Amino acid sequence: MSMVTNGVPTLLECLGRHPGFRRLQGVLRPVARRPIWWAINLPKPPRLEYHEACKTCRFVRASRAQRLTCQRTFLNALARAGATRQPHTFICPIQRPAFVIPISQENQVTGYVAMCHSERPFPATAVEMATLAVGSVARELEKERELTNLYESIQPRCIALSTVHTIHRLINSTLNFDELLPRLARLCAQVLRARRCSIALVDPDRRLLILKAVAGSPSLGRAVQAPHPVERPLKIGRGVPGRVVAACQAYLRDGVLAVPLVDQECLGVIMVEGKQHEAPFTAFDQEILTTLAEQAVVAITNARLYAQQEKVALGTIKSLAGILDTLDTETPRGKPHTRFLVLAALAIADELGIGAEDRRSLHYAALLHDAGRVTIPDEILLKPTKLTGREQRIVERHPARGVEFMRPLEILEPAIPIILHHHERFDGRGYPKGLKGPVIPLGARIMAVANAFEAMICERPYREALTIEEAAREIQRNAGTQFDPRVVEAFRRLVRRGKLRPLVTRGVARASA
Amino acid sequence: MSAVPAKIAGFFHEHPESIETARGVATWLGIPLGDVEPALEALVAARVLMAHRSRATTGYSLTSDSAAVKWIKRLLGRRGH
Repeated sequence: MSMVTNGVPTLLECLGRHPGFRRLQGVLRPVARRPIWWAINLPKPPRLEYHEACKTCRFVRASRAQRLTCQRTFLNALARAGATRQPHTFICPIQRPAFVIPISQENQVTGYVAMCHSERPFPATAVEMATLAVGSVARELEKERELTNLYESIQPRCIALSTVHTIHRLINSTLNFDELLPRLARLCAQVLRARRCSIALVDPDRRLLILKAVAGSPSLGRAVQAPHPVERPLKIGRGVPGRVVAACQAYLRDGVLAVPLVDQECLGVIMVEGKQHEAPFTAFDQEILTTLAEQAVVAITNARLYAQQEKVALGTIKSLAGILDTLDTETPRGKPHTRFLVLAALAIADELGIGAEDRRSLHYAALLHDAGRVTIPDEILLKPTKLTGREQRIVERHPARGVEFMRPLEILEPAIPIILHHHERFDGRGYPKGLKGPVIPLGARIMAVANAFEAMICERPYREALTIEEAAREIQRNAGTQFDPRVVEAFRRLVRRGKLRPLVTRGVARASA
Repeated sequence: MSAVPAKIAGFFHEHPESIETARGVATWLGIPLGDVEPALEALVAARVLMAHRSRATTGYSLTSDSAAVKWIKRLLGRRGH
């Protein structure tokens, strides 16, 4: 089949595959011999583009003037078919039969399929068959086009929805406020392709907006460097962010899009500035940022609730630790320095880079690590001579007794292994289980070093306190036997950098106060 | 750039505002997840993509470095994307 395309290659491809059209070609072959097929697209003015198959026509081949005559005849036929929206047969300048079939969609002619250069007259049924085939293919194409349009309009929304879902997972995976807001700002800047995103929250006591997080691309230059309208606390009602919070309504203008963070009241504002490539923010951007703000409100509320809950839990644990310390202080063995121990253990943990959850467990464990000691009789604790076997067993039971006190408090569950094993030794000669090396929980290995350090540098009724350096040397001497060498190394680094001295002052002063 | 990373870079270049998980990218492009995951990490290492990591999941998005975006555009243009 010889065909020329004029913007509708799909139509011709579809026609070529259409069974009715293939039958038509079979019917026409004996009479038409070497027909020339055309597909002409609208709404452009119809234009004939002569092609390879046209070389079979001696008239078109002969001269430019004859080619123009051919074109006029053809365009006339197209006009007639278009006007009547019916197939039109005609005779070309060299007296060969031809036909044109208009393609109609929604009562409009959108193109034509034509055949010319038939050697002999073709039967009328050939035009009917061609009309049916063209109509059928046109309907298929229309459906395909509708599907494509639908896909093209739905796909960006599906991708946006999927992005919102991913962001929901990313922001709800943390309850840490300091981690949440910068992450949220980065994600909003990314999704909106903004040069800068800032999040400011309302300080309910002072009725001010406080900037909490800013994110921007490092390649964006001045936009990020420029002073930000909410870098200093901003009165509600002032500036774009303040007005958004006051009115609790979004703002979209001049390359700035800001939406309020609304729960039962307005919690704050997310603002994006300077869309990349200088494009303006759109209503669709506003829709997306509003959806993200809704997700953000849930995450912010959860993080706040979690922070409050943690504060309550820590307060309870501190009260409990205070009661235990008081009980301990009433014995003649000297004041315990729990606060210093906590600070030292957390400093070592930070030096080792342990995660937030493990750090929190260590914090709780450090506060309550020796709760079980209240069960040891004073005559054993203060005995100046070597303990008997029975007395030693009583001492070794105190971590387990302490754990028994803690078990009813569910929040302390992750701290229990640390409390239970903080008297284990790295070489396996500790108690209560005789665990060895890395089998001992890391928190317990950190506690062992911090506990020994606290014991050495704090004065006891029966001995003088060691200096930090003396205590550090003693701990170093026991690395690999009593203590985990990795933990000792972290501890030594803190000593070298002088990081423990302020903690000693703070911790001991607090305990003595 | 081999076929899978090129397809992924093409997807993010076409949808620069999207943040997708590896599973999401695999679904959009019809590529097995096992092929998508290493390709995404390779593109992050090459600074074509950014990874937003959390304990729950990792989201990937196009770099916001405009010079890198232009380079990706040229590269994809040469590949006929």
